[in-house]
Amino acid sequence: MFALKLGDESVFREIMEQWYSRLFNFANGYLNNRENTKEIIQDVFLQLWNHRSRLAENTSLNAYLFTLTRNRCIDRIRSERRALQFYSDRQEEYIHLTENYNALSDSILDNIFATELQAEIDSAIAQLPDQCQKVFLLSRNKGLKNREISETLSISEKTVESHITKALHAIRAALERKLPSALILIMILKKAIAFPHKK
Amino acid sequence: MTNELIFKYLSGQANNKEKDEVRVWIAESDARKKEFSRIKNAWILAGLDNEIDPEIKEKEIRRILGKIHFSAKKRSLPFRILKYAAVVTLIVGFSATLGYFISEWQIGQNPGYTEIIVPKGEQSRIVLPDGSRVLLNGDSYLKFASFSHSKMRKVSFKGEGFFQITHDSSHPFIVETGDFNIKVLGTRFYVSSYPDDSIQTTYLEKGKVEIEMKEHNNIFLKPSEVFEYEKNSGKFQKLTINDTRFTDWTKGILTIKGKTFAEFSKTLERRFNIDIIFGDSEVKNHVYTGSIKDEDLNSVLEAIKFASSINYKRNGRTVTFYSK
Repeated sequence: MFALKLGDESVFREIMEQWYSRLFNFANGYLNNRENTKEIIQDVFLQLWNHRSRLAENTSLNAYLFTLTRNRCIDRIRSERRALQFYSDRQEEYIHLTENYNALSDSILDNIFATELQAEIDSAIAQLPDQCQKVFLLSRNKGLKNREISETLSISEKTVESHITKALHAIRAALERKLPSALILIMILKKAIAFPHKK
Repeated sequence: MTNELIFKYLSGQANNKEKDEVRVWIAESDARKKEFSRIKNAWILAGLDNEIDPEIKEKEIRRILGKIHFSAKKRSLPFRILKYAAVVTLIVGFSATLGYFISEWQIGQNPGYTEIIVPKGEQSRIVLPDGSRVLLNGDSYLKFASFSHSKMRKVSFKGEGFFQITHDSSHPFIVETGDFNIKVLGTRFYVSSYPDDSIQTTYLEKGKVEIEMKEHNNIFLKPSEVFEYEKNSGKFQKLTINDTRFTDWTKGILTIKGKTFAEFSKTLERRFNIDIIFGDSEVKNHVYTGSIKDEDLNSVLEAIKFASSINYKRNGRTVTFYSK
């Protein structure tokens, strides 16, 4: 934040280099439209630039950028839905937008960018059993369809599907561990600290 | 409804019949809608690092930079002030990127040092000019010069940190703690070297490190090995530890193994920027083992109270513990 406040353009470029892909993948996941996504990411970075002198000293850049992106996506989806709701031939799109809107509004995303999200996810993926991890990465990172994965690895499609499901569950569990909810805390309190003995 | 079917739907591989099945299932209740949302979010978040076409990314970045050129830009004065400082000292809060940008930007301007001070109660992740990453815990200090002008990557360090060093065999990475040096090639390790602690600890998670000391032969560490150095006597030992007690803090978890309260009270002081007073001497000797999420001070205090016959009174930054 300190460096950015001084108005150095090369710092701003570095920030974009570091964050562009992740923000893009995030927004596109919900908007499903590369042009709209590019527009939104542009707005987000411009907002960062325009408000840079007003940012608090201890702002987490990660939380700031993702929160901005998330909010703009929500607004965008809302107006797209409003436009589409009466088009009988675009109901499929409408349904997807609704699902994405709900997902984007889920409270699990509220605090998640202020914490070390990516490390949690990477670690969850790293801990998957070999075959499971391989299948998951082929699907998520290379975008292969289940059939293509099953052909590549010579395993059944059913096996591919169940590997991916297992991976998703592990990731989701890792994310939910980050949720500062009273319920989880109580569970940890009860289990974690063993009773001490006096010396 | 199987999870496999939901995933097929999520990834656009479901046929019409399957799509309807999933949608009917989702529409059944709010709990189901939420369940679906969670899975969808996990899917999207797991793919944040997918590569996007570098040409498109470059084009977009240039486009955005083009837009900011239309806004009025003042010459940044502070640029010049820093030019004359031999040392740039930064006090950082919780900012992932701060250290990296400062070092690249400022080091280009003046061949001095960069110092990073992380106060008690804060944590900071620093990216060094070579891409190495260091997570610094409260009450820590890191100092380094420009990496490009020398054959070695050297940092001075005090406090508690977790280092992830990029591999570069032609430029060894050296951590100077004052009492001994830690030499690394490419690896992940933890160092605890607070000036007011009697014992300094180095734990290797992955890779290989070499401990260089003035009056002894060098010691090599393999993964899961720990080097413990006792400052007052100069004695040291090597142990093997097979759990994550030295790196849990990087994930926001406080882990204590068989430590007395007196011993881990310093950890609490540094983590939350508080002063701990012991109301009676008995309370100091309670021994604890456990892990807890260290998100906020109150939860941790309550957890300690809940787990033992200890009570506490909080007065601003001072917390007094006493036997019940």
